[in-house]
Amino acid sequence: MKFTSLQAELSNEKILKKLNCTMESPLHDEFLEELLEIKDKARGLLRPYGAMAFGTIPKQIATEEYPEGTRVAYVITTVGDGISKYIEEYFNEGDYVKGMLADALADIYLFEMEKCWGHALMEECRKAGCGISRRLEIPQDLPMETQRAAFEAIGEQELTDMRLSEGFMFYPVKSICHVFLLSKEAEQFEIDHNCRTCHNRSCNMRQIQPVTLKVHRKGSLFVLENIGDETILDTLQREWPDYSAVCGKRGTCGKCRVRILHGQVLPSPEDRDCFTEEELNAGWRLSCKAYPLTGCELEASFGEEGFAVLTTGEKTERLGASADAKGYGIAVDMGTTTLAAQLIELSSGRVLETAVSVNHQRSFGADVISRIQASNTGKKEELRRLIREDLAQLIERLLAQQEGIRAKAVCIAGNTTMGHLLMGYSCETLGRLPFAPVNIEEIAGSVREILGKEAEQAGLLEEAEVRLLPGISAFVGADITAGLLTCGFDKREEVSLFLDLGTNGEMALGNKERIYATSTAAGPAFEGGNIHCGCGSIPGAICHVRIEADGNISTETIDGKPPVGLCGTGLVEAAAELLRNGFLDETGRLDKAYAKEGFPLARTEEGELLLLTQKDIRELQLAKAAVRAGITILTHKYGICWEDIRHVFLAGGFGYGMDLKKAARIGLLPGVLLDRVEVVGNTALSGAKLYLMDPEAVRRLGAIRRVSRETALAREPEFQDCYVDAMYFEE
Amino acid sequence: MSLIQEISENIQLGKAKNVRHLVSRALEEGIEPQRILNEGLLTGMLALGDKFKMDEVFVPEVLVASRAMNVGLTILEKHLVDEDEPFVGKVVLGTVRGDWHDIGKHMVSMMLRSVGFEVTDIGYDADAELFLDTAEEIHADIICMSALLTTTMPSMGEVIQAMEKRGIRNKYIVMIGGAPVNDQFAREIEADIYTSDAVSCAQAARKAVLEKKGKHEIHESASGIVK
Repeated sequence: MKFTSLQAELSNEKILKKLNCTMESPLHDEFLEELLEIKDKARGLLRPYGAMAFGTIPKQIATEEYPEGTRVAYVITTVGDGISKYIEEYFNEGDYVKGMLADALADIYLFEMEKCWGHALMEECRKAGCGISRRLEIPQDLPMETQRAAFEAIGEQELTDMRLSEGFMFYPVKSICHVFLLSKEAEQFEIDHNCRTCHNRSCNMRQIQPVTLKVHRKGSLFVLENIGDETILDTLQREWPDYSAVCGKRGTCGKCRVRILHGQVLPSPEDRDCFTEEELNAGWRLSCKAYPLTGCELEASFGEEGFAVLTTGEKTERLGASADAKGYGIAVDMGTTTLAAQLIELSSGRVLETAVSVNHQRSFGADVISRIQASNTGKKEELRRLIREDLAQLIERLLAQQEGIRAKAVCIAGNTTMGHLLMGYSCETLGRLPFAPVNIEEIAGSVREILGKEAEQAGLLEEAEVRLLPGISAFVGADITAGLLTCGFDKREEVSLFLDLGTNGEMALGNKERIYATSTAAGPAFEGGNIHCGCGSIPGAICHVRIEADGNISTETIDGKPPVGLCGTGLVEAAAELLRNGFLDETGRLDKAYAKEGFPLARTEEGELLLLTQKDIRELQLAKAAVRAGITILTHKYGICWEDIRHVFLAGGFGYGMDLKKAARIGLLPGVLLDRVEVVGNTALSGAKLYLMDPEAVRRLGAIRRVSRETALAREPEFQDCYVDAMYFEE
Repeated sequence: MSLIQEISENIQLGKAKNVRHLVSRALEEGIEPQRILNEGLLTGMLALGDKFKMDEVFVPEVLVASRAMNVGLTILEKHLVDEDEPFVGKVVLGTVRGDWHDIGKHMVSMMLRSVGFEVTDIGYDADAELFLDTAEEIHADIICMSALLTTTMPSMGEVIQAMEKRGIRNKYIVMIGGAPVNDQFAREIEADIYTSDAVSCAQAARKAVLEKKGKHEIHESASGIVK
């Protein structure tokens, strides 16, 4: 049946939008002017006509989903070939602006015509006693050849002047073919285009309808709505704001993986980098890059539940517990990645209970910079709520099993950013010049003032006092001062080096008279972030690697569990071993045989290969170069040489149990210092504990702060050279 | 800001009138036409290409810039002498057999011209013979094919097979593009380069031709054009 009257409206704004020229574009007025110049002429050249017919899907184009004989309605419409010649003329003249405008005008007219023939189509369906259940798209749902089937079903006599190419394309070029799936329900008319199933993501006319996600998480089923052009991770985070996004949704860390059980999600390029073909077929996707095409059922939360957090402080014997102290207190290490807390008997220093947790602010990114950015873009209160909830829960857990015990004091050591986020301070000046903290002094207050009402029911005494340890600068926070306190820098005559290597490589060099401290952006590699098979220090993380000359590899994992990934310590050891056996050269290039796929270290229980890739090596190089350059510059600034450093304190989870010779082999630490390294564990926690118990601690920390100077590495003229030199894997 | 820099800036802003005026002035001041071309016009266009890739500008900006580019080129052409190299290379461009779409191809043609290529557009529904005969005739550097349909993509492979048959496969750089085309398909049919949009196509074409000729790029790009 031929359509009559196909007079559609032509909106200027829609035409301009097709060219991505919205009202906000600085070129909007110029383009509008040009459009008005050609609009009447172009419109006059349009010869809209079209026709429809009922038919079935012939054998040649049948698919599994739409088998031969499926009842459909075919529609073909066109605006004629006059407009194409007009467009061509402009292009040949070199006036691409007018050519593109005329082209967009023709397209918009074709789309808008749908409103005219849509009614006619529904009328025909009513007469035939059927409805329309879906609009099928070419070439996603049906092959290109469908255009021939439509052409033949409607018949040439209805489509005067129209031809078909051997590639099943229409002439005139400005023509469209539609196929609608018929249903028995007479009043159902799902004829509108669904942008969600449309692959043209960059289309300027795109509009997305919501779909439902059924999410299996921690043994329960949740029904969520995926709205707009948002990713699955976006949906998960709307429901669970703490859902982890380690790399800040860049699709590089692989930590937000989900498994699609039902429904359609096409693999993204990042998925193809991250997963093998079998994994993709099994439904694995990075949720931060996953756009559901249909409603989906999926498994979420394969993450880092059960982070092993280091709570051992080797130097706690230095505690000056005073026997007259009574009651109980809580020491907290408020880390960017993890939180650790201990319940302590103040009279003896005895640890009654230890609790650890992930810092749920991780959903805003792994490092402090992404937290600062989040805080500065309206998430300040949300970040504050998250850390308050985490701390309240930790405290509750510490006290839950201890009948009759209520704590009277809490001491918290964290970096400057974490302190600001807890206090609800603005982070505006932390992330950019002048890099000035709002408050870097000791902060003391009531439970309600500092921990909020979240912690009031957690089992603290009503009059309990909460104190945040003071820091030095925006980059050198209380986690470092706590470390320096633990290591007795206020009493040290000999120059010593303090290193805490996490996402920020933090370090200090000095003695009781003068201390230089700094923080380098090492990136998350030491914590397994941005590493192909990387993971935190969780049970099953590979932490020791040995490679024999014959290529035989042996690995050890945390708690001896079957391998699940590679933690920072394992990464350093793997690189050192590859280097020793010549699989890696000093510039960081993996042997050709492994350059593409990566070097296989172990297999998981499921038989999946854990690979160390070339990109992982590059991440490690960046991290270790930042640390090593920092050490070099502090040493130069202090005016000493390596030999003059008498003692090295290696703090933090990374490095705990690491073979230091291997760290030296890749150049992370200067080899001459190996004989004087002391691994000291979680010194932020032990420092907080000291602060809690030792009446001298406030004075001692004051002394340390007085002689400490922050060194901004980026402002040191030699930093760039040191950094580049340190990139090589050399001892 | 130097006159040359001003030309580059105005190209990026798409100010055709200013470009006309500035190029004329530069010629009057005795600046060599080749330098105006390279450091003013082309550098401006390449810098805009980078901005496009970073989503800082969109199609409209590129369109007006190319118009300004055209104006500049027209004035310069008369002044370029024999030893000058007005073109970085020659391209045969067409939509393959069975495919009648050519809007995308027009955009590619525009961008290629804007970054210094001489483009011979053989239109749409072009078969292998036409691609190769034209390439041989004009001594092209690049054969650039577009296909908008899954059904016409295989025609690109046919052109490459025809090149093999004639023994001229390695004589030309083969570039492909179009909505259904991707990197993987390019590898399957052994095309040299796939790009996803007109701007990337123009940048990749420059890079490939300059490398083949052993020359250096004039514009240090943020998006990976090798210097």
